Amino acid sequence: MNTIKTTTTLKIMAALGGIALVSSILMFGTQASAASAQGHLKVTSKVQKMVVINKGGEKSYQFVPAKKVLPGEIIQYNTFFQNISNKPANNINIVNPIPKHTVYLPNSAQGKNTQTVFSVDGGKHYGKAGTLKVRGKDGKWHLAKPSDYTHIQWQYQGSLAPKAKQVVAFRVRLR
Amino acid sequence: MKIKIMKTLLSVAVLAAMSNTAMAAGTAAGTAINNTASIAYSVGNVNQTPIESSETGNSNPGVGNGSATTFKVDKKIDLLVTAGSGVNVVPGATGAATDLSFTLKNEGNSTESFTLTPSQVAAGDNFDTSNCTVTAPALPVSLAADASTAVTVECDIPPSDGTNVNNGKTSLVDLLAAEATGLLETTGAEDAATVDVVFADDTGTATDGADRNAKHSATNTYTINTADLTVTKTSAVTQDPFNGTTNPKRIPGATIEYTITVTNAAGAADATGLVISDPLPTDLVYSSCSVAGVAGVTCSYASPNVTTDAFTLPAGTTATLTIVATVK
Repeated sequence: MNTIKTTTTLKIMAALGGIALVSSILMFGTQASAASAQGHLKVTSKVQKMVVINKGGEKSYQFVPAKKVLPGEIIQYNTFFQNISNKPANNINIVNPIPKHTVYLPNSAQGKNTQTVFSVDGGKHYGKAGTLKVRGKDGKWHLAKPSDYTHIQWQYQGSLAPKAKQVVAFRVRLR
Repeated sequence: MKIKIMKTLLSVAVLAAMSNTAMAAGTAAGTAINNTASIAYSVGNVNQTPIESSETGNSNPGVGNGSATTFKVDKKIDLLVTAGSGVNVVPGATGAATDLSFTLKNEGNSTESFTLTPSQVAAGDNFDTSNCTVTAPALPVSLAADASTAVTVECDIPPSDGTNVNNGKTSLVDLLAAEATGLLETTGAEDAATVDVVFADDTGTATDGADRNAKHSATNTYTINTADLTVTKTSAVTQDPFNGTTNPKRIPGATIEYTITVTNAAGAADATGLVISDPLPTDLVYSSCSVAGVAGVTCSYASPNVTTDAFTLPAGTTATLTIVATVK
């Protein structure tokens, strides 16, 4: 008889504003991992802001650590993920809610080897940019604008080898 | 409670409420902007517990084991003074007749107090006013982010001097607004955790010579619009007892006609309460008088003067008083 090696992860999510609890329940397998054990990836989120440099009439852009930010400025979030285990990881999906008080800058989501999709309903459903719809105050469905996006998701294609590191990024404007 | 087994995508979505308040001035100073990414993945096609991000790198799976990447929105000091339309005044005007309007807007993202100072503009106008004061609002004025206030300035207009305080001449008044508490821009090392202060205003007029100094200014104009009168007087002998109307001479019995015209220039203000008065020479006997050019105005003789009623002479019109008298 084969042992069934499956890991099923169940999520119990409380109502909005409550505390989301996560518990991992493992079926029989040779690996037993408790919820607080080391994962296979190390995930880092860094934030930068865009500054415009004007050298004798020629403008160029630079990204610096975001410490002092004013409304209207452009912020870039870089999410680094590294495989810190000795096994390749795959089916990697990175989800980033658009931070409150910011607006997604169109076409700014980037990442090598990724497909990007967006959500306008709080992360329940995802679709490609230009295909999402929102219901307006008039009750009619309209094509969603980047300012309607609530979440971005990068679907990393293929696998991430042990020790390999990748990065995805996106930009927003601070309201 | 619902238990969902999701086969394809497992993600912990933090359901952030959508911000409905879109202020033109922007997100309030001091607001923390937080971001957390979450990565779901498999190893050997076995789904793993997603891992949240942190600023330094997190590898502890499960919700709440990451930490938000955060910074605070800084305080943006930005203000704008705009001038209303210019005002026409008469020489010597004071008080409410000289009300000059401006608007002050707080374009920053925090409530701030401002002072307002009017002053004369040195060049580019014909005359200076004096005693300019801000009569509204009370100073310093506190404005919330994005709020505006109307500002009224009153000045004393100088009396007419024949050259610089005439019809069409102008005086420019500058209004300088400044942040009232002497707030300084944050210098030195920037800190994501504290609220720094950044000046973001543009350059105003000459009194606010630089941008990013927590000041702004604008100028408005007084234009003199008063009556502009020209008076002429001519006389003619219309007949004498010996020559009749052919080359009559000014001899006893001759008839003399005086014509006095008053013209108010086009584009001037109406001259109100105008009275034309002319004393008759002692060697003449009053005969009659008449007024032309303005309806309903009469004249009368009370020795030695011929006088009209008080009347209004609009711009671009001429009133003519004709006096007929006889040489004694």
